[in-house]
Amino acid sequence: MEEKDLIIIGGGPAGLSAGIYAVRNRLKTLVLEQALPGGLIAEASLVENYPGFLEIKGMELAEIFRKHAEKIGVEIKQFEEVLQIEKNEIFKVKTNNSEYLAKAVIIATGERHAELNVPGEAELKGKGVSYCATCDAPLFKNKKAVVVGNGRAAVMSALLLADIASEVKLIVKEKKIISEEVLKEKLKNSRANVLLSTEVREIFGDSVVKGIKVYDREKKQEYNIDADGVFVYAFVWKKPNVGFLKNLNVGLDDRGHIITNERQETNVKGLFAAGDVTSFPVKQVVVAAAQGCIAALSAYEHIKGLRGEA
Amino acid sequence: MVKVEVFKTEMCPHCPKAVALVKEVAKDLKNVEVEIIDAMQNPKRALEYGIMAVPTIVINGAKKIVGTPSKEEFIKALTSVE
Repeated sequence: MEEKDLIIIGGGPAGLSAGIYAVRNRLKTLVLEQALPGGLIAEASLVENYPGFLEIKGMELAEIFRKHAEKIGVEIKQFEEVLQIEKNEIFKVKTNNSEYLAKAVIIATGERHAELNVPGEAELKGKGVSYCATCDAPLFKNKKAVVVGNGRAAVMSALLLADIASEVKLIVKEKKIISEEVLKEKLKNSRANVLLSTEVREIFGDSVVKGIKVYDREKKQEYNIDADGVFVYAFVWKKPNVGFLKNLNVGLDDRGHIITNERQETNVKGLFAAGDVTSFPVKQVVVAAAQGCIAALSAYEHIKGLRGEA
Repeated sequence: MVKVEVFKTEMCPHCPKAVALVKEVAKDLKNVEVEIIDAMQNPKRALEYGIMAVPTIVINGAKKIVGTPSKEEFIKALTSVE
């Protein structure tokens, strides 16, 4: 069985940043990524708040992270999904392809989009219901689209669709938009129409989406909105990817995010976490990259301790 | 021979996974012909199949899989249309 100093699970900004810092400390490091490196940021149509880049497409930023990590020697195995982690003296990481041993593990698996869980959503997935505006928005040229959710990703999706679709409505359950002021201003000046205090109760259609049933929480009224596309894109409902951790009794918060201290240590010795999968409330690329750095340096100290070098 | 068409868009971060999966399985099975189609550059073909999300995998012009299935699910879908 292959043995590493450090295994990093997840190849997004947190994981790749951790990889860079680990390799620079000469740790034998492996990044396991269940899809392609980049993480959820690859879905962002535009990133405008990562220092060094005035504006860059999410996919391009993700690619730069990957190239940087690989160039300095971070080993990345893509399409390799972690199924289970066990801990005895050291960690045993089981994937869909192999098994590895590691002295330390960093969890950087991020979050995934959550469903709305309303009638019609599952049946119409891929028939007008989408969870990735960057992927599918071009297919809704001159059609009616609604974006359901709140937060930066929802606003960015509405802005993207405002340039493509014939009309766009952003349906927000809360009383106000949760996003950067810059994006709120852009939204105000865009063709997107914002409906606050409005929740989606049903997505309807036959073979394809025809519209949504919504409930106005202020007026206490239910009504229908015509739509060809429904983009469910709500960071406030995202779920952390921690299913494979069930054997380890890792401390999680009430939404399932991993609890860490300021050194990115979990309650399990030698197990660290960084990025959106943690309970830290600010979900941003720059935070994920910083936490990846801290996690890698903490893992380095832990491994030095195991080697008797501390 | 089974014909597999994979619809993608340029900015879709999930599409390379679907393309890689289809190519890997096609290499193993040998009787599978693969075509990768950019839905934006070929809107007529996307419309023909009613493509509303990417990646979408179309098998023999009939069976549609939206998203990236597991390798096992994809092989099962291929063998069910043969």
